[in-house]
Amino acid sequence: MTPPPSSSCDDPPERVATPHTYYSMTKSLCGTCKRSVDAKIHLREGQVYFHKFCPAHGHQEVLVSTSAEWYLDALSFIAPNTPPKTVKRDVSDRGCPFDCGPCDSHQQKTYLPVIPITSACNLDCPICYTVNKNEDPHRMTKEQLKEILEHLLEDHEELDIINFTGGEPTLHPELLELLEICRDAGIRRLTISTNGLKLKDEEYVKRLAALDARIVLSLDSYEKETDMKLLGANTTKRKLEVLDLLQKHDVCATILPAVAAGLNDKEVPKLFNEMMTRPNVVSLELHTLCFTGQGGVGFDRQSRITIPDLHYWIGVASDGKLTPQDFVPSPLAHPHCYSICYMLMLDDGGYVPFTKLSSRQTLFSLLQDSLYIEPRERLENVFRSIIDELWSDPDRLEESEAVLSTIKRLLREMFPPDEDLDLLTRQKIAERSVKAVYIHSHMDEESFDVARIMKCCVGVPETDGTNIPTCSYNVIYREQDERFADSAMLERMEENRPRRLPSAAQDTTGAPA
Amino acid sequence: MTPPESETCGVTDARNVHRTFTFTDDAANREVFHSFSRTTCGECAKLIDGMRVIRDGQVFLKKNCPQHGKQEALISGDAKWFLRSLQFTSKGSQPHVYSTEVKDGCPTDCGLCPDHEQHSCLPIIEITNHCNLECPICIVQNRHNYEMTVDEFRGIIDGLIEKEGTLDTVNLSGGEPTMHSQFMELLDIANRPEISRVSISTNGLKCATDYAFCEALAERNTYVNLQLDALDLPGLQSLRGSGDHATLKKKALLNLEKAGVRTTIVSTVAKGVNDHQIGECVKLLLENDFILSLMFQPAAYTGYGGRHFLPHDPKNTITIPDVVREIETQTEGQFVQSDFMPLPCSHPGCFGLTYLLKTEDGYVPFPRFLDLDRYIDAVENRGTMRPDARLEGAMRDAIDDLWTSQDAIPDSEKILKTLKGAIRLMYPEDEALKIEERVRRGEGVVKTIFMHAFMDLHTFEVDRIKKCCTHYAMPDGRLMPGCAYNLFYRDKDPRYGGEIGSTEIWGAAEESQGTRLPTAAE
Repeated sequence: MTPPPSSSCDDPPERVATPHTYYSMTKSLCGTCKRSVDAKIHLREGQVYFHKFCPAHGHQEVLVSTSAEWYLDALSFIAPNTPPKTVKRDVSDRGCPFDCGPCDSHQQKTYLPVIPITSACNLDCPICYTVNKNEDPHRMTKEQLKEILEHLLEDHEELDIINFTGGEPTLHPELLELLEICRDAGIRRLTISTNGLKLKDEEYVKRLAALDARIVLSLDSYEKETDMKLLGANTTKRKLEVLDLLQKHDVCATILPAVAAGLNDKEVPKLFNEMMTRPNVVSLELHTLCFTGQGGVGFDRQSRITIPDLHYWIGVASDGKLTPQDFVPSPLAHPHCYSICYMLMLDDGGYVPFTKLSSRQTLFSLLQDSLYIEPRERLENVFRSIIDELWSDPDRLEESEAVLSTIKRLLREMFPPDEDLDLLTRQKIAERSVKAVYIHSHMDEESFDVARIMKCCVGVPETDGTNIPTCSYNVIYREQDERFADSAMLERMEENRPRRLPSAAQDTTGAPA
Repeated sequence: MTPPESETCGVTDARNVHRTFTFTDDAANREVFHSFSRTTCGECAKLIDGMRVIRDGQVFLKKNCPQHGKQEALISGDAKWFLRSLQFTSKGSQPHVYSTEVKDGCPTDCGLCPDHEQHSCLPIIEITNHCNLECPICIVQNRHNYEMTVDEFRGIIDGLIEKEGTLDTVNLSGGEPTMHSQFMELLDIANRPEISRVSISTNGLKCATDYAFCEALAERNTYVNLQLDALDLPGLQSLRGSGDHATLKKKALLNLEKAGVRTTIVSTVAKGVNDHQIGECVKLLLENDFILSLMFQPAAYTGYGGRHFLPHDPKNTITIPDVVREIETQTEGQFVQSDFMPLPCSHPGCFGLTYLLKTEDGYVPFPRFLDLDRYIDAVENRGTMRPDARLEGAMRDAIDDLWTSQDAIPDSEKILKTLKGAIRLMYPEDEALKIEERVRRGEGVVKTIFMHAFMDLHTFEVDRIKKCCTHYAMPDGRLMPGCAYNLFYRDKDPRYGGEIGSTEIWGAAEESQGTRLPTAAE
């Protein structure tokens, strides 16, 4: 039998590549019915998409990151996790995220308990990602809080931080008493997420200051039109007045904008500046807009923004001083949840990101015990190493003289050789000289990633000892929670939810979606 | 048994293979949750949630079935290899036709459905389910009651050409394909200008006992993937059943060499059984010109093997990086771990490989002298190198690089000489070579070591199956990603539904040294 005739062409016609690179897979939710569905992770034109299929609602796609480089860079940070001590729910046939919580699949204990102390709210923001109930609103009782704290303390050697939210927590008549209960339980960082409208009351602010409460103030825009679009009201003037009041009484504060692409993203530099110029503001926390909840579910999806976009705007805000390489993920959460940059504020008025003082590795390590850097031995050692390095190589940094004198001062004040200061005192000293940018990306049903929820370190604890990761709670459980789920509101949400998601990119074959 | 070659012409899009990883200082001592993975319960095959965790330098797939409880399986013996492998991703290629629709989701809509991420680099046609061995490690389940008809086979070949246009390799398998009553006729039908290479996966019995058969294979330029786990007898029996398998393989090799058949050795590696023989297999590859490549297949416990092999601990198995490590140890550093990479064409967890350049003094792995990104470019989606313009470019660039950085790379003079010779041989200026001739010339200069990891119910990941490039071809036109077919479809294949037949099993009557292993009938 003679050998076959040779191929007619030397180099056969090139095959058609897929328009994307298939990177991996995770589990997500259908944007319409919220059942769990496979999500392929596609890298396309330098961006990252989830490409999913729901048997009932077909193919759908969502932009997850405008930078594949950031997406993969974040995943290159590896940190161990500490699963919760007690498993409260069995794993069911439906699996994650329907068995919260925690179920046996949950990988991380709660480092930041988030307590919605009331379901009432005095705004109805078009971007709201919770569900609020004003008629016969839920108000947590002191007893309920105590029970929750008991469970939390069981799981932790030291409960570091707690966050009150809602609805609008300042609408709770007993807010101050609730804060006191937490302080008495030994919790050092008491934070309140608020729209600030009720903080125009100076007496109230003074009492908050006395409790060392920290105000996380939502401030989204300086422009009237944008303010209306995002919050449905003109709030800016009031909020700036509140900021002045907080500054006057030296109340530690964080400015928290929810950022929407094409709306208030260009105002990030101004918000950054707001933080940098107020000594009592310790951080800027940028939230990517989240399309769930009573407002979010109906908001224009064109305004979806991702973490790397906010890196860009911080770059603009800092005149290029802060780059994506100055940010690291939180070791405690999934690497796609937080992107964190710490800056040392120099005594001469300048600032340097921690990553330039030492390294990304060091910043990452400083964050391995808590969501916010602790003024503990680890930090002291890092300060000392920075001094040693700069001493032997001062040309490495332009600002080394100012850095050296600032850090030496901080060491003297925070870690005096003859005294062991308590953490709260050290913290207050540090916070005068350290600021941070936190970029935090909540998930909605479209961007939901089960991997992220499994490693979530933030949760909504209950009196029965259960705990539900915040994004699960926002997307799935709050609607089933009678204390929060106003039926009229739920109806409104269903009306506003887009019937069909922005159409997915053509299937690779052009097969009908 | 699956052959080693896998080829597509996807465009390289490997993301930053130079990426480094940042660890907290306690990461090495504690468990790390890495990622989510949709997997199966090892007992009931139900699709369940799983997670990949890094522990003690290894990667485990942790899962919890609502009915059967918590389970864990080792998926990578080297966390560093695993982390690095994720950077080896490239764009898939699309077939011209998809045979099924997406209806209920992966992996129930095989195949291929439009959500699949890779075309059929390597179609496998199981032409019979008769086999004359009863290997305790077998990953299929032979029922000895089916032979593909000539018409079915022809239909499959036509269908493959319709779906792929051209195929670099088509593999005939089984059961034992040489037992097909019209074997030669099928081989001739597969001989199409659109198909560059036809390979058969065989236990070698017929090759050992029938020299004329080997000659017939050689005449047709058939590639033989010879199943050969080791040359050590006791180890072989627990994998392959009773009989003097070592002698059988040696006879087969002799005949194949004599007849001039291009041969690949396929070794299934099971922990504690024949993993100490890995070095011997490498030696076999290097010392025999007619052996073009060596394929290691870490044992997967499914099919017949899943039910009959000695009990195994899913947390203590062989994985691709373990094979790589053993190669380094057992060749005493002749080859080292950094010589090996994941193959980007299928999922990076599925294949690993290295190409070896034959110099006058021995074999030098390509990654030692070829820039990493160029290497991936040249290597991607290729089982045996395709000597096209891209490879020529890479080789010429390598020559330039070696010329300028001679001191930096050991053996560079030798490598340069060989590369120049290879270029002259494969891309001669004065001759217009057909691709087959170029392939043949290239095969004299390059050998390959592969690792191909199959999945069983313990290690199954939907993530991996979506980019599978090794597909079983069905007479009804479907192409089934290999591991999905083995785990979810094979048992239900109506072609095999009749009563279990019988075939005379070679070696069953022979005395064996040690306990006789139970057969399917028992």
